[in-house]
Amino acid sequence: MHKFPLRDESALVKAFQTRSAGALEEVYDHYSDSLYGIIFKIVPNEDVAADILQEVFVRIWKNAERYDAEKGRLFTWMVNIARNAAIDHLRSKSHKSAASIQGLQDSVGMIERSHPDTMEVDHIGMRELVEKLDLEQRQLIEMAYFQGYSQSELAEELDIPLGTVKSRMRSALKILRHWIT
Amino acid sequence: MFDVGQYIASGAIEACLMGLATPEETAEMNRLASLYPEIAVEIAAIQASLDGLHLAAANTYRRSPDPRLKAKVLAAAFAEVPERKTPSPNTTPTAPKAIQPARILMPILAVMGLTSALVLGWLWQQSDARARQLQSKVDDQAISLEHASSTNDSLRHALATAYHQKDSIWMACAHMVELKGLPMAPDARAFVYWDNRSGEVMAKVEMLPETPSGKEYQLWAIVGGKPVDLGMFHMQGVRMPVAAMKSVMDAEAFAVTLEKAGGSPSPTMEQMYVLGSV
Repeated sequence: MHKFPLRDESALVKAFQTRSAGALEEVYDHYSDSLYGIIFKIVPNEDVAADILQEVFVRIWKNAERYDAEKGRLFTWMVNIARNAAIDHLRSKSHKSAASIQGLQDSVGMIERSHPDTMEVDHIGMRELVEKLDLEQRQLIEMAYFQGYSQSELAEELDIPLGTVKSRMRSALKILRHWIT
Repeated sequence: MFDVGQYIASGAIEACLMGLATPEETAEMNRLASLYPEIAVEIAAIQASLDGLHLAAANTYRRSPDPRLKAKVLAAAFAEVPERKTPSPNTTPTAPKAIQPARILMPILAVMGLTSALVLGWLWQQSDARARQLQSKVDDQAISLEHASSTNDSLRHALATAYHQKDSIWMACAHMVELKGLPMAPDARAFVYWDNRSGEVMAKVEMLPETPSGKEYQLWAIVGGKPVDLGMFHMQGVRMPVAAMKSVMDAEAFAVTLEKAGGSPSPTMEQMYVLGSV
């Protein structure tokens, strides 16, 4: 059954870290949609995304005791692992050149594709966030966050100096910081 | 001279935290964070907005995988590491208790007192038969009891010294982090002693401005970029002798803010008085 990420994770976190019976299943029930969604956003292929999701769950389960609740939410920790796994896959296949052309259209597209359920959880959606950015910042976030470009690749692809990549990324995150925190 | 402001403004931290930078650049950022608290604080703030980005992205792109995938994923995970048979007991972990000298000392004193009483009792029993002869022995015992009592005192003293030495040794082995005054109180100074293996924290205040009524100083650790409450300072004027605080692992920096009495769930950044990175 479709469940939303938990607002209060503390009981689940305890069960998860001690690898108690049923804990991983509960994690799957609550978070697989979100994790699968972000993987699919980066690697838009059902079969490959499913393989990556499996790899991610094996990884979080093996490293359960390495999750540190004081460093952030379990959910954020898992999203980060899922994103890294998907981007690693992308980099290993070097899909980047094909994806880069779509970069801009994609960021417009991602506004429309935002999930209608988003507003039920107490987090601002990507759509609201991206609307706060100008086109150049939006493109940079899209390429860096979802397409796994390194900063030197971004500089080359966008034909701007490395310093501009960094400062533009900073100004984009600064705007997001204002809206998130 | 290294320009902290310029480094922060360059966007290097953002690049590292988003995984865009080279491992060398990331190592450099961590080195700088350990030298400059401003950089550690900036890393924390940027990490928080990145976490927000993760959440927003995950909420926006939710998508259900094939329902058959669940059994396969769980089987694959349990093949690597099996889950425990029992559900987790819902117990709250108890914080490691500080050893209290009185707890050890009291039984020792009780045993010594009881032994002395028994010896005396036995002596008095014997005194019927050999009262006069034993009188001197009673006196002897009284002397040895006195002696025992003074042994007791010296034992108590030795224990206190040992505990003091233990604290000193602990403090010598712990990381000493100097928290320096920020612009609102440039002369303020405090120290945090932190054992990064056990997480134990002791704090000492050299100087902090006197607290207005209804306010108290609160100690924070920065862990993974987030503030973690380490408890309140019980000031004696502008100073505070060494005091045990809450334990913390993986601290990157420590800071003190002025909060409402009893503490706040999150620090008031404008009221930060001292800061120091590990």
